[in-house]
This record gives sequence, structure tokens and C-alpha cells, in this order.
Amino acid sequence: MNINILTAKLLLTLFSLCLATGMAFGQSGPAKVFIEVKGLACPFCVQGLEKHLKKLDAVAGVRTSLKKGEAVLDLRSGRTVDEKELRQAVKKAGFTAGRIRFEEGPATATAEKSVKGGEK
Amino acid sequence: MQNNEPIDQTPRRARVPRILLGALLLIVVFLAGALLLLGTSWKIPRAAIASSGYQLVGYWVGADLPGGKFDRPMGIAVSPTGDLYVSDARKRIVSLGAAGEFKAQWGREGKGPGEFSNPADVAVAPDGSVFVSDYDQDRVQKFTTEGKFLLQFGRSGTGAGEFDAPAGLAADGAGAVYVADFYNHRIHKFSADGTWQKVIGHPGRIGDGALHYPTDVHAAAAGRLLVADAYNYQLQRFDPDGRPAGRLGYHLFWLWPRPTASAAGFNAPTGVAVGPGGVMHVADSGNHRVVMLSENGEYLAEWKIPAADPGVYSPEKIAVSPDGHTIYATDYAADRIIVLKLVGPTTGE
Repeated sequence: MNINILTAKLLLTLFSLCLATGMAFGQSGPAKVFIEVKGLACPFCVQGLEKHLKKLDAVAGVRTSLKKGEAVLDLRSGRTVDEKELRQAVKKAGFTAGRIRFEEGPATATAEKSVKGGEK
Repeated sequence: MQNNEPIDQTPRRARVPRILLGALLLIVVFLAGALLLLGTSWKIPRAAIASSGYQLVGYWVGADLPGGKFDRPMGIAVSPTGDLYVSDARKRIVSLGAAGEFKAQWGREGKGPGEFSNPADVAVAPDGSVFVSDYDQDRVQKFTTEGKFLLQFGRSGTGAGEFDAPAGLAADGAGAVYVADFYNHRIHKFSADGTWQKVIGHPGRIGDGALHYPTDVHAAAAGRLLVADAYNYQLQRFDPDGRPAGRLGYHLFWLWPRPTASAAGFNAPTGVAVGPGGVMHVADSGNHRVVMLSENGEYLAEWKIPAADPGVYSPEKIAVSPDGHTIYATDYAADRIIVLKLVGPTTGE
């Protein structure tokens, strides 16, 4: 009987863990944001743009491509960011945000290293 | 009620050209006035010394550095003994001898003493102490020549002694430290112990002392300052009291077209250094070149990066050896230090 109770408890714990893991990894929402920014060429400006975007709570990492004229944001797990907030951050950095695209997918908290201009 | 106002009998078709003509006349008068008032020094005059120039010595990529090759080097400074200090994206400061030999390095990612997020620039004081500005952390750290942490100053903000992206640094002969505050469009002066003293310059696009995204500052002889006023596309001089003392490379039409010809001005001059005798060296990053100016601001020579990536402004910062004969510039786009030698009358040889 004791063994049965232990097995039941173990199964319950495993079930809870699976459920929690599923919630964490299976949750969908905007995981990446692509912001079109024109006129990126100067490293000081690019670093300033990344600095201002990183200040947003939901942003885990930013990388900028000078060639594409685009900033790619990785959002923290389960967090979202308002388009207005993004536009304000870009404006503070001295630029004007163009098209903003949210990519749905499993949330991630991985901060990627920013790439240098030209993507050599 | 009677209306006594005269009736304009001119046909409408005749009135329209007259209005256009008047508007055109107004524009011409306005432009002429603006040129007279502001546009007299928009070109850099050519110096009589035409044979001065740069000669490429080589590129240092840092192949033998313990922490790996240079990765997006940004800040650069030369000590009074001729040693070179470079900051790069590996969150470190590298010290090299005059021949490029490795001497020391320090720093790692973090927010504690001796740690960096984005070490943007380096300055060396006359006593050999090394100052490093952190673009992301809005602070300046002071180290010994060997890299031992001494103190720090500055924080994020817009008030006295506060920064938003300290992009450039300089130390003068008396040990005072100057910080180019990129997003606050101004220069700060601190004493060697980090006590804030004053603000130099103000945000603006037109006029003496108006700064727009300054990226570098150099402490020249007799306490004079030279500022790389990058996005006003000019250099600005300030006297020892911080009063504006003239502009170089200024052009009226900073909006368009941007100057690109060798003697017509700068396109985002992000770094500046002055050698003995007052010869100025400018990292004209938007034009992918190093420009040499005489003490009076006359164009002497230039050196262009061969096959530069047009999508990335480079070189960023520049430094001169104590004898004034060797120029070092950080080539962020190509992960290397450009080493140039001066040739001609400006070397004094």
C-alpha cells in the first residue's frame, strides 16, 4: 500500500513538472521583434540604439544589422512589449522606427551577442 | 452698409506669377543673408604645406593577444611613455608597446570594479593613470598603469556629472578629465579624483558651442580643448575656461549635401588628436579616412581606408605618439588598429 501511495505521489509530481514545463516552453507569444531602422552606419549610434532598447524590461537581448537596417530583439520568457514603447526607445536613440514585426513563438530568454555592421 | 475698399482689378492669372516672384526673391535674400552671417567658414582652407602626408605602417589585429584578436576596437590612447591602450568589444583594455608588443590587459563583463559592458574610450593622464568610459553603464573608471582599479565616477542621467553614453575621454596636463556625453550633447570636466567641475558646450545645431552627439574630446596644449562634434559634422575648439573658440570644417548646409570632398569638410568626425606643434589628426569616420590639419585648421593631407565597407563608419578614434610621428586609429569595422607614419614637413625632420 505504501508503495502504491509513493508511486501515486511520484506520478503526480511528474505530471505537475510536465505541466509546468509545458507552460514554460509551450507558451506562445511574440518572442522576437524586428524593427526597421534606417540610417544605421555609425557604431556609436548602433550601440546607442541597442542601449536604449535593452533598457526595456521585456527585452533580453538586442542585435543590430547595419546591412539590413534592422534591430532584432529577443524578449524575456512570457513578456511582451508595446509597439509604442519600442518606437519611443528608437526615437530616444536618435532614429525613427520603420516597420515593426512581431514573431510568434516559444519565448526565450537568450541574449545574443550583437553583430557588427556589415555582417562580415 | 457701403463697402469703400478698393477692388483689385488685376486679373488672377497675373497675380500668381507676382506672388511666386516675391517668394523667390525672399528666399534669395534669406539665403544670401544666411551665407553672409554663417557660411563664411564652411570650407577648410588648404595649407601652403602640400607635401605633408601619411604613410601606412601596417594593421595590428592583435593575433597574439591572450584574450583573442581585437574585436570591434573603439577607444584608443597613448601614454606619455608611448604605450598604447585600446578598448574593444571583448570588454577589456589592452596595453601595447610602441611596436605593437603585448604588455597587459584587464577587464571582463560585469558592473563591478574593473568590469565593463561597453568600454567606449580610454585616456591616459600625465601620471600614467588610465581612465575608461563605459557607454552602457554611464560611468568612468580610473586604473593604475597596470590596470588596478582606483575609483569611479558618473552615473546615468542628465544632471551635473551624469551621462547618457560617455563616448569620448581626455586627460589634460594638470590631470583633469573631460568626458564627451553623447546623448546629452555636452562635455564634462572632472578633477583627477572624479569631482565634477563644469559642463562645456550645450545641445544645438547652429552656432559656437552648440554640440550635436559629440563623440570625442582632446586636451590640447595650454588647457585648450578640441571636440569631435560628430553630427554637426565639425570640430570645435574651447578655451581653458570652456568658452567656444572656433569651429573647423563647419558648413552651413549640414543637412544636405554632406561634405565628402577631401578639403570640403567632414562626415561624422568621431575622433580627434593633436600632436606636438598643434598638428591635428581627425578620424573622419563617415568618409573612411584620417585627415591631417595644421594648427590653424588648414587641410594638409588625408589617408583613406582601402576598400572600406561603405555601410560602417570607420575609423572611430585616433591617438598620436608622444613624438607626433606615429598615428594610431581604431578600425572598428575591420577589427584592427591602423598604424600610420607622418611624412613631410609636419614631422619636423
